[in-house]
Amino acid sequence: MLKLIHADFYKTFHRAAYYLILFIFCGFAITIAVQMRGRDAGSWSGSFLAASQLLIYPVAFLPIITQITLGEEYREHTVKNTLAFGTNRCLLFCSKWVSTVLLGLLLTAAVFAAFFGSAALALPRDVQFSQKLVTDFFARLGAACVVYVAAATMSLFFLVVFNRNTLAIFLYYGAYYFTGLLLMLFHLNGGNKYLLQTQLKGIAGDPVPNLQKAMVISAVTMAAFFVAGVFASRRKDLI
Amino acid sequence: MGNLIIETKSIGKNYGKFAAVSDLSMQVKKGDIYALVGQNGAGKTTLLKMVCGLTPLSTGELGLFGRSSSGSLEKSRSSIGSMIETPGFFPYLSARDNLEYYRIQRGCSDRSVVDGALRVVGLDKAGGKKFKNFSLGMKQRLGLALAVMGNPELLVLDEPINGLDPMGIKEFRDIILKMNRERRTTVLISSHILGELSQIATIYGFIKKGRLIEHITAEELKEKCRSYLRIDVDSPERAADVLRNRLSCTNFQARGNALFIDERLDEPEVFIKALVENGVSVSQAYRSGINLEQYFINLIGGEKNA
Repeated sequence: MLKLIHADFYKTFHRAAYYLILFIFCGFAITIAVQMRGRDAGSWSGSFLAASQLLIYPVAFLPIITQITLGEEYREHTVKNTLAFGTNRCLLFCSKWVSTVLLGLLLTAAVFAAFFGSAALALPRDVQFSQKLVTDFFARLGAACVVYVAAATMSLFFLVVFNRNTLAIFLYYGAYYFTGLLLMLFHLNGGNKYLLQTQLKGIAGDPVPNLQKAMVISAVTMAAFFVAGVFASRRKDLI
Repeated sequence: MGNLIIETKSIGKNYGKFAAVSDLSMQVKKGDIYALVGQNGAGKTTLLKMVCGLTPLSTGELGLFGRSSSGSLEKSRSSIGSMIETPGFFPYLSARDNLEYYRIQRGCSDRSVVDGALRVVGLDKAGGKKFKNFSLGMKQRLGLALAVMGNPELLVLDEPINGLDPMGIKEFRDIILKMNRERRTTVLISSHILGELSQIATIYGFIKKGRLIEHITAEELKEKCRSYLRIDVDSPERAADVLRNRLSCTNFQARGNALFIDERLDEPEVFIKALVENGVSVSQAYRSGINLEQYFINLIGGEKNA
C-alpha cells in the first residue's frame, strides 16, 4: 500500500493545481487574519475564536482532494492501468483513502499555519489570550479532522459508486448539506443529531461541545462509508 | 505452471440481461500471439477486460499462468502488460512522469525502465512533453510503452494500432515480434485491421456475439485461405498427365472434374494452352482463394453481418 500512496504523492506534488489550491487557501487565510487588524476581534485571542468558526468550511472543499486522489483516476481512465497490474481493489481503495486523508490534513495544517502565522505577525497579543484558548482550539480541530475524514470517505464512496464525477460531487454536497432538510421533510428530526454537518456545527460553536460524542458519530459514519466503498470498489466494472 | 498462460473455462459476462460474453473457453499457450477477431460489440474488449481484472466475471473460471484463485490471479497480473481501449494517463504530467508514477506504484526499483520503455516506442525525445499535448498516435505509443515497461510475460492489447501512422504500425509490429521472438512474450491482441493481425498472429480466435466460434492456428488459416488456380476439364486423369508430363507441374490436386493447382498461379494461359493442345476440353479456369478478411466475413455469415 505504501507504494500506491507514494505514487499518489508523486503525482500530486508534480502538478501545479495542488500548489495553486494551497496558495489560494493560504492566501485566503492570511487575508482573513490581516483583515481582522483594527477590528474588535483583531487580537491573538480573537484569531483563535475566528479560527474555531472557520472549521466548518474545509468540508466544502474536500471534493477537490478526493478528485485529485480518486476522481481523476476514473475520469482519465488511469485506474485501469493500476488494476490491470493486479492491484487488489480493496487495497487500492484503502490507499486512496489514506492519500486523501494525508493530503487533506497537509492542506488543513498549511492553511491554519498560514492563518496563525500571519495573525501572530499582524495582530497584537491581548490579555484574553491564554493557553486554554489554544488547547480548546486544537481539541476542536482534532475533532473536526475526524469529521473531515468521515466526509472525505463519503466523497470517495460516491466516486466509486458513480461513474460520473459530477454526479458524485453533487451527491456529496447533497448528502452533507441537505440530508437534514430531507429528515425534516419526512418528520425524522431526531436523525439530525447523527449528521456530520451537525457535528461540525457543534464543534465550531460556542461553548465547546461534547467533542468525544461528535468524534464517535463521525467515526461510525466514516466506518460505514469505508466498508461500503470497499465493497463497491470490489464489484465495480470499469467502463 | 505448465505451458498455459491464459485458460478460460466457460467464462461469461452479463450486463443485466445482455450477455457480452457467454460460455467462452479458450487457451493461450506460452509464446502464442493470439489474435481476437470479431465485429464491434462482439465481446473482444469485455474478454480482455476480464483477463486484466477490470471487469469481474459473471460465470466461469479464469486461469492465468496456471493459477485461478482470486489472490493468485492478482499476483499473476503483475506479469501482464496491457493496453485496453484508449490509453489512460494523467494529462498534466509529462510522458516520463506518467511512467514514473507507475514505476513507483509497481515498486520497480530500476529507474531506467522508464527511459527504456520510452526508447522502445520511440518517445525518448518527447518524454518531457505533457500527455495532454500528445497526438493520438503518440498517446498510443505511450500506452504501449507502459504495457512493455518491465518486460511482462504477457501482453494484452486492445486495438493497439488505432491512430498510428503507417510507420508507427510497422514499428509496433516490430516491437511485438521482437518481444515474442527474444523473450517468448505471449500476446493477446484484438484489432480491426485484419491485414496487420495476419502479419503477427500465430493463432486466431473468432468471436461472434460473445462466443468463440472458431479457434484456428495461423498455419491452418493459411491453408484454408491459400490461393489456387482452378481449371474445370472434361477428363481430369488426362489433364493430370498433361500437367505432370508436359509442364512438370506437381503441386496440384484433382477433385471431380476440377484441377486445383498451387503453383505458377499467374500463368493460367500456359496451363490452358497445354491442356487444349493435348485434347483436353477446358470449360472454365479461374484463380481463387480468400484472405483473412474474407474468411472472417464468411465465418460470421456474409457481408451484411460484417
